[in-house]
This record gives sequence, structure tokens and C-alpha cells, in this order.
Amino acid sequence: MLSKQVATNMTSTNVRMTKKNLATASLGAQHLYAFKTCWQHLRKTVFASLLTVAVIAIVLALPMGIFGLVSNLQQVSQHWQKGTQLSLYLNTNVSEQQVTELLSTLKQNPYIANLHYISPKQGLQQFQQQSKIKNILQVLKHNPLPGVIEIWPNASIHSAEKIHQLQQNLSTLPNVQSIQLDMQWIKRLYSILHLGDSIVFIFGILFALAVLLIVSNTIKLATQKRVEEITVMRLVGATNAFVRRPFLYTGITFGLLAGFAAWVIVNTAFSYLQSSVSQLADLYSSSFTLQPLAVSQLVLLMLIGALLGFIGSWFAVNRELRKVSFDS
Amino acid sequence: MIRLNQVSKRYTNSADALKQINIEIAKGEMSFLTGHSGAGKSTILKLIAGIERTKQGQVLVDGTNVNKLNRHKLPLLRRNMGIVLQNPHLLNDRDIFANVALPLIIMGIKSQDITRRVRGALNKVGLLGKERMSPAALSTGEQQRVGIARAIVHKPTLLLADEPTGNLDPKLSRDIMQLFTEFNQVGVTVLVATHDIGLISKLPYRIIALEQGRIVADGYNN
Repeated sequence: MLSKQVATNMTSTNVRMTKKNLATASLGAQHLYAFKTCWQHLRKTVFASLLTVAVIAIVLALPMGIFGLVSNLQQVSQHWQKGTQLSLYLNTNVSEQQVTELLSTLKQNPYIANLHYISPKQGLQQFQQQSKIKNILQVLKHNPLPGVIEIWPNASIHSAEKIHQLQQNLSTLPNVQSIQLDMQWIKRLYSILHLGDSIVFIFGILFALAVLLIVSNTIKLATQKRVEEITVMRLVGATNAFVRRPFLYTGITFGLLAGFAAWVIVNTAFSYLQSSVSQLADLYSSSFTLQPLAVSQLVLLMLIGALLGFIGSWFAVNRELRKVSFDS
Repeated sequence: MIRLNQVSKRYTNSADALKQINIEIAKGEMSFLTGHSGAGKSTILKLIAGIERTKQGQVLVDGTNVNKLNRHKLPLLRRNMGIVLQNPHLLNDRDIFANVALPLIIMGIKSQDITRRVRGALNKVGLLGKERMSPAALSTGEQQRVGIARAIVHKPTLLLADEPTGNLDPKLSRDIMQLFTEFNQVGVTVLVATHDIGLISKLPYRIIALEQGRIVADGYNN
């Protein structure tokens, strides 16, 4: 019933109070309405919505697939990294005490994981075994081989620059004549991996923009179909936030579903590639397998999708909200 | 309740819709705006509801200048109003109940209260029992009554109606007017724009007559 008490005055303070009440009002009912509206909309446009989700999923899958491949390559390179080894050739006239000192200095170096000293005598033995020349000393009169310290750098040293830096540092040590390290291939590998990272970044940005455009176009069409509803809602006092909400939920739903689908697409593609990769790895006598995207990356993809869906629909709805007007 | 001070309004590329209008409507008053189409009736209602704005003159609704009101506060102003249009703008994708419930959902009213109040509003317009029907299944007169139920379900202090009987026959029109007078009797300020002089000439309410954007008569029937 319309009581006089309810029909009190409507001052500007009253408007302000209503606003305060708005925050404490049953937000649950409002969100429920938004969810229902979003769900009804999705149900009515199942095919079109699935199509949108599929397009977004493919667009997300491309940079994510490249990302997956690059991170797999980085795994491989770390594996090879363990084989990186520096050889320190010592001066031939060093005393045993000097070698001991040098070894203890090197052991304190935090960048060195492991080291192994090969004395001139041991070197000669190895040489004799490998070359099968016996009594080599009878020919040479004295041992011409220098002492060698083999060094395996710490796993914390990832980049070619850091290894190069370590090499520089070691070369300043006393009694070290030269250091041998095949740097070239490491440098090349790291450049390729770096290039891969950059490609993922550029593709990521471009494809994120594409997702924004797809979502905002789809939501724009949805708002145009529901101009009547938007008009009525504003007529009876809906805030822009209220009008926007169902569309934002729709955009976020698209993003979440597409993120999930993209993850499935990438992992399906990877499992398809697996046999070829294993064959290739066999040729290099490696047991390398292609690692699929992890569950954490699924979460990330869905979050990215939801964020893009949110931003895309936000822009679309706001643009349409500015256009809608009333006609009696 | 409503005060228009020296209000003029001009739509882009057309003649003045309103020329220096002064109107004062007291709280709890019921009044009619009449005149031919294009006289400025709708424009006055739109200015009061904040659907249109003008730079010339003041439009005060209970002390709030609607012309200067921040756009994000406009929805809150509308929640104190009920607006009835010639076309009731019902949403055919949902039933009558959901149509009438819309203002309450927007205000964040709890769902059990919504049910009670929607039924109350539908009872008032004589459509209780048709909640689950689609608006499309109703007659024009019934659709207009659903529109009115939606306009009063949130218990507004001010009811604005723009040609609410425009599509209705005389009998239905009288019923609708009867409804408005009932709302007025419980304290709602009612302002109805209509060109149907015959319908309102016998009613004991204030009539403001407009012609080409000016007030040409303002008074009561005898």
C-alpha cells in the first residue's frame, strides 16, 4: 500500500541517503539478477556464444602455444647447461703448493659447482691410454702437458654473459695460462631463446588486442539487441553499473571458457607433437619429452581471458550506454 | 514538490519547445498538462524526470535542481518517481511479475519483499493472477496497467504520466485516470500529460494548458 509515511519528501539529502543505503541494500539480489540475465542471454545464443568462445580460444592458444614451446626449449637448454665446462690450463712451471692454493681459491668461488684437477702426470696417462702410444716419455724426455682444472659452473649461471664474466674473472688468477670454453653455440642458443621470448611478447600483445576487439564487438551486438531492456532499466532508476553488470558477466564468462579451451587446444597440439619430438630426441640420444602446459598456466590463461573479457565488454557497454535515450 | 523557474528548452535545429515556463506544483497535488502535440507537455515531463536537460531556467524537484544533478545521481532521483509512458515499454522476454519487479530488483530489495510488493501493485491495477503471463498475451489496456504497476511498485512520491491513455478507448482511459486519482488520494503527487481534454474536463483537478511552448491557462475545473 502507498502510505503517506513512505510518500515523504524527496530532498537532495534524501537522494544522498538513498545512495548510502544502496551500498547496504541487498547486493545479492542485484548480482543474482545479473547472473540470471547473463545466463538467459547465453542460453538463448548458445551457438553464437560458443563461436565467440572458440574464436577467442584460438586467438589465445597461438601465443600460449609459442610460449609453451619456448619454455620447453629453455628446459632443454638448462639441461645442456649442466654440460657447460671450462678448462683452466695452468702454467707448466707451477709448484704443487701453488696448485693447492689455486684449488682452494676456486673452491670458495660461489659460481663454481664442481671442479676436478688433472695433474700433468694424470694427463699424460690419459693421453697414453687414448692414443695407445707406449713409453711416450722416452721420445719426449719430459712431460709437455700442463696441469688442467676442469670447472662446472653453478646452475645459477644461466646466461652466456654470466659464463663469459666467470671466464674473465678466472683468467686473472695467478698461474692460469688460458681458459677454454666453447661459447659460440651457447650464445646462439640464448639469442634464439631470447628471440622466442620477444615473439611471445609481441604476439601476446597483438592477440590480446584481438581478443578485446572480438569481445567488445560481440557484447556491442548483445547490447544493441537489448536496447529496449536497457531503456526500461534506466527509466526505472537503474544505475549504469546495474545495466552494465550482466554484460560484464557475459564478457568474463567468454574469457574464462576461452582460456580453458585455449589450454586444451595447446595441450592437445602438444600431445600430437609428442611422438615427433620423441623421435627427434632419440636421434640425439635424449629422453626429452614435450612438457604440456601446467594447471597453474590454465589458471593464468583463464584469468587473462576473464580480464580481457571484462575490459572488452566494459568498453562496449559504455559506448552503447552513451547512445541509448528515451522515446515515449 | 515541483517548481519550474523561467524554463526554456530548445531541441537542436528546431523551434523552441518551451518558452520561459513557470510552474509550481505542491506536494500531494494532482494536475494535468494539456495541449496539442508539440505544445511542450512531454518536454516538461522529460525535464522533471531528467530525461532531457536545459541550460535555461531551473527545474526543481523537491529542492534538487534536476538540470544540475550529477548524472550518476539521476538513477536515485528516478527511484522516487514513477514514470508511465504512452507505450508501456514492457519486456516480452519475461513474464509480468518480472516486469513489475524490475524497479525493486534495481533498488536491491530482498526477494520475499519483492514478491509481496509486486503482488500488491498488480492487485492495485486489477491484474493479480496474471503474473506468470507474457506481456504480449495481454490487451493494450492491460499492458498499460502493467506499466502503471511497474511505475508505482516502488512507492514513488511523484508519478509522471505522458499520454498514458493515448492508445486506449474512453472506458479504459477513465479506468486509468481513476487509478491515478487513487494514488493521489494516498499522497502521491501526480502529473499527467494528455491531449484528451474530454477525459479530464469533468475531473476536479488543476489543468495547465500549453500552446506552442507557453502556458495559456492554469486553473481548476468548476
